[in-house]
Amino acid sequence: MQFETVAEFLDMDGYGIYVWSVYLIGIGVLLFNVIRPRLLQKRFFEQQSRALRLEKQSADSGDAS
Amino acid sequence: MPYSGKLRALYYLGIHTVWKWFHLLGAPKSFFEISGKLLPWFGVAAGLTITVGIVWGLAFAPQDYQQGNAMRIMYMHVPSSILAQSSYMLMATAGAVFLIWRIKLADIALQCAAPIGASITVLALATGSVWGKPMWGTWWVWDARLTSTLVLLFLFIGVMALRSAMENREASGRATAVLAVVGVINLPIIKFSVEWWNTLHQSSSFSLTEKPAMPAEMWVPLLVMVIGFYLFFFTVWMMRIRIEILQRENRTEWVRQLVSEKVSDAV
Amino acid sequence: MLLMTIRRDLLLTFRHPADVLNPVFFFILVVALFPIGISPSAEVLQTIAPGVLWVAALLATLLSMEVMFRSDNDDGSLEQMAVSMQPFILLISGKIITHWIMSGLPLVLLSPVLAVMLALNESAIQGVVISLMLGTPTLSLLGAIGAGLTVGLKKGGVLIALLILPLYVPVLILGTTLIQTAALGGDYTAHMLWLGAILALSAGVAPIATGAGVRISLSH
Repeated sequence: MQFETVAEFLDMDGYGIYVWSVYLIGIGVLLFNVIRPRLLQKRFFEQQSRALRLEKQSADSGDAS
Repeated sequence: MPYSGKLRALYYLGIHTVWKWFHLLGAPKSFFEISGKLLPWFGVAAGLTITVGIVWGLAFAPQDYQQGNAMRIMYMHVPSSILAQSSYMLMATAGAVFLIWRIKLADIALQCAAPIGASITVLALATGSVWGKPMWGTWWVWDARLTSTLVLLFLFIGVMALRSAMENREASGRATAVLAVVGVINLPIIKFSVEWWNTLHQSSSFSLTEKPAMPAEMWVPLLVMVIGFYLFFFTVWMMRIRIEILQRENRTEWVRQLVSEKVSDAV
Repeated sequence: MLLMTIRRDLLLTFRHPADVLNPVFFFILVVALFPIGISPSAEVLQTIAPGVLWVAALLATLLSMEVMFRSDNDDGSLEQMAVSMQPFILLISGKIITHWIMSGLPLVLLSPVLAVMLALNESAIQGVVISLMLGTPTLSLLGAIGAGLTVGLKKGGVLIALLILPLYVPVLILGTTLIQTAALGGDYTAHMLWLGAILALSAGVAPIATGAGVRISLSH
């Protein structure tokens, strides 16, 4: 461990704002890349299951008539 | 013939196995199945390595005698710069594979690599810029590496723009593949010319082949971070490829079955 | 075959002189805007002149790029060429050469005049002509790739710029540094060799890539 106190760790000899913003941006970009495909996946399954349900419904009503 | 009979038989057997795997992986369905098994491992490995790398770089790596704590930015900047270039190479390789063998999966891989690569390039630019502020006193310097990274971002944007401009999927796939391959031929020339134009930047401080100049306490966490970034890239690449496969094959039996299983799970 | 394509395309473009002249006027206009916009002092102009001339040349080439395949695509003759027995790469090469004769060569011929107006000295003017002479064919070759990939698209213009401008960076750098070296009276053989090497490489790759691009665009 290179730092004695938490305050020292946050300050980084005055470079804190630069160092911490870089890490925040970095983690932000990484998280974006994880969340984006997850959202796409969720949307895909929602769409497809709706389509599947509609198909089933029309098939059922076709039987009844 | 320099080969003995046994060696040659082994050689052909090797080629045959590689070829078989190539085609097996090239089929979207089997890729989906195999990647589904690999994905959790890759995800865990990427998450662990990056977490270890960040903590190590932020708290445990020693200060630089010149730059002090500001050089901790390196543990974000250098991996993203390296990965930015590699992701363009990987994308162009996928493009070449698609043009030569017409493997559908390669087209999907190319399309999915572009947005990830572009975002990593933006990260490399942003971190380089923030690093420049305390070191050079300005947010932006037209030095060789920042400039060529900027051109790399333009190349990514070009590929994405062409993809979205063409409506026909088959045509846009082949067109972007051609563009990516042309871009990768140009990339070394761009790098060379930009470096020649301006050699203000500190020379590359890290390379995998040469013995690095910095002490081990510094380059080991950096290496961890680089590996973590690569693992991360492959993880999210796979994630995007899997969704794209599902979207393209949404009329096939296996995808429909997958969807209905998913629905009955939820109920 | 190559010569026949060139002759045919030259004849066709001569019937629409505006297509050729507009980019040339554009080139002059852009160059003229810089002294007006920045400063008419000779010192300033000398520093910015290499970049101004080269950037204007890049933009003028891009402007004329869009029309490269358009008329042939509109009347269907491009499709005929693609399915004809003639080697397609030769036809494409012919078109690229024609494009350079109609858009690159006028810029080269005009550039000494503009260089004088930008207060460049004699050796720098020589550098301008040599760098444009070696560089503009590369611009036509690389631009053709973009034009080929966007043949069928309605909004091709801006897209070509997005695709191709990043690829122009090495030529821009080598061209401007050649002029700068020439202005100081230095030896610019290395720049010439590099520009020549890039030209040779693009001459090898660009017709193939353009042909592939045109075929892709035509097939849909």
